Amino acid sequence: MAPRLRADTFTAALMLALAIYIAYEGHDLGLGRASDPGSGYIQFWTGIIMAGLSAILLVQSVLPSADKSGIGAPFADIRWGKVLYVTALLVAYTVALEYLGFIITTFILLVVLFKTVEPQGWGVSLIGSALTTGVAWLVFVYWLGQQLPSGSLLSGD
Amino acid sequence: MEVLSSLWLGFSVAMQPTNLMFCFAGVFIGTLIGVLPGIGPVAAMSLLLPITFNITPEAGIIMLAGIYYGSMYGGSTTSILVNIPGEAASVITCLDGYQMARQGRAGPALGMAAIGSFIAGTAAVVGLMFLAPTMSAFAVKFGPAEYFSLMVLGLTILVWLSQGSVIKALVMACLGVVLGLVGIDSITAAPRMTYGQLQLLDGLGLVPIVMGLFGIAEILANLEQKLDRHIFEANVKGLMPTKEDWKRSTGPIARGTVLGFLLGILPGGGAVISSFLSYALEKKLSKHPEQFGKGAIEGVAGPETANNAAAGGGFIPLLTLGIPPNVVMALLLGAFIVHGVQPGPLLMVQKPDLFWGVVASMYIGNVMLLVLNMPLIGMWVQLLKVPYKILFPMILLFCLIGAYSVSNQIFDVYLMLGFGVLGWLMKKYGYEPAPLVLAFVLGPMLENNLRKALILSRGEFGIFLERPISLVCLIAAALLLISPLLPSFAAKRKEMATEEG
Repeated sequence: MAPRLRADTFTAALMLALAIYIAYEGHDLGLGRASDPGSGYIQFWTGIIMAGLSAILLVQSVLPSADKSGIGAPFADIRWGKVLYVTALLVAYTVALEYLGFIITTFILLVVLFKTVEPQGWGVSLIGSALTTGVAWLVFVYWLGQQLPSGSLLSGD
Repeated sequence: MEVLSSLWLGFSVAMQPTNLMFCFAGVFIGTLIGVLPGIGPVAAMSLLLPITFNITPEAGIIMLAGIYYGSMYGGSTTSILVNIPGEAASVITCLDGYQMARQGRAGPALGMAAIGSFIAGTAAVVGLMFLAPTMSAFAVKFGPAEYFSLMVLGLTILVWLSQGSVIKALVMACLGVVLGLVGIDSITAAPRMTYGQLQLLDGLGLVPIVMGLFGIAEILANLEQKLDRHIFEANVKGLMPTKEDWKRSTGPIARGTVLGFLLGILPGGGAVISSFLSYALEKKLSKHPEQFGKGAIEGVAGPETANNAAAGGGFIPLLTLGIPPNVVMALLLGAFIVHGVQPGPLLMVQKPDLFWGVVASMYIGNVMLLVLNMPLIGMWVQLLKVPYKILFPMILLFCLIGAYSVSNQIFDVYLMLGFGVLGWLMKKYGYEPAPLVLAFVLGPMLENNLRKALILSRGEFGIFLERPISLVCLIAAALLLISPLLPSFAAKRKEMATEEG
């Protein structure tokens, strides 16, 4: 049975809504005159062009001759599991980075990634994580002089 | 003579120990990321861009340039030995390179790829050296109308060459332009789409966007697939091609060099398209086209030469016009600007040491690459055996560090993650990231030149049609945009379409 909402229709509608918003914001900023374009001039017209293109995509997606590659349901082909899991881990890492600092947070992230995404033994996970964290710190902080968070909890900031 | 004395100045800069070291670091990292599938030159350059903040502009640009042309060398190794392209410009090398490896001829395939790359890379630098001064002198005559129209043409070519739907690519280009406008308006100082966020006043960062769209998105896409890959245990001894190999490869190398260089100069063109076109050309010219895809050395020599020549040619529009012809050059433009240097027609006059230093470093870099890719090929083969499940956490970590290091702001890491998820979804739904990124970089320049041209002409849009260069660019862009509507052109475009960057 054909899906009720095609992926291409969904994304085209999303783009159309975004384009209208962009044009609206551009208009709000002020278009100025052709001889002295305002801050919103390019944004407005880019939004309008984008809206026109998205409308064409929308119409194309509902035509019987629509490209077969885009006819699946919007979320049908997506295997969310690992992608969502890794994304959540990365967000958690970013939140924790400022509190726990680079070394601890990175070590924990790597152990979890090694151990859970494509599970490795504890030896590989722990040694691999410690080595990677150490080398990254040496290269980026010690050698290249980058400033990575040292952690407000540990430094008492 | 003037060119030679300038080149002498360039060598005196490039041979400084620090610059030599960063040149080596660049070509080494370039070969490394070329060999490793899952991270391309764009992601690697954006990762290392913040590192260049702490060094001189010469050393920084020399290193970043080295990563780009180095990746063109390294990309062939995985194509030949694993049948997986290390980066997009080596996709076509899989066809005959892997077949040669299966026939026990991995050595000559790798050798010819490296030698062809060296010849093309060096020839491209010579071309750049002689053509750049002429182009710079010509570009001085460009006004805002010409710049605007040339940028429109560049974006149009990139859109035209993108895989799949032209309309989707145009939508991405529009989105890129708008994202490029976020922040303070340089003329009226009005904040645009900043939503009260201080971090947005300076605009969105190029590095977090590129690392998200090209680095994180690639990893997320790979996570959906089985992570193991099989490595072809090839015998890579005897790298020197035979007399017969040389006879068959001389023509493809010569044609690949010229074709790649010319396509590299064109805005929107680049290494990927030149490798595909070189393959098509060699197959057409060959007396034995049936051997293509079954281990014909011409199918390795031509494309591998063309992609290196294109990598060199791509520097011309950036260095002489200040317009990046592709995403990689857009990143290099970012690096120039970070160091307070504006590439363009005046670069050669105002910063001759930087300009000629970078050019001379490419000669040196090409020699280093020949050494790295011929005697040391065994090292890269060993590296290929490291499983992706061990590599991907490390690549993720480098992306996180890279995004944070740009301005030491957690906000940039969130931005990268957001664009990572967006890039992954875009891949799913057939929207390409390359037009978005190039438009993001060109957006502010496009806006500035449009506004300046309109102010100069007192609001008359005719200015874009009255100036010959501008008119030619706009006509070419219009023809490209309507060409997909014509069935014969549509078929040709589909044949050529490929992913840039």
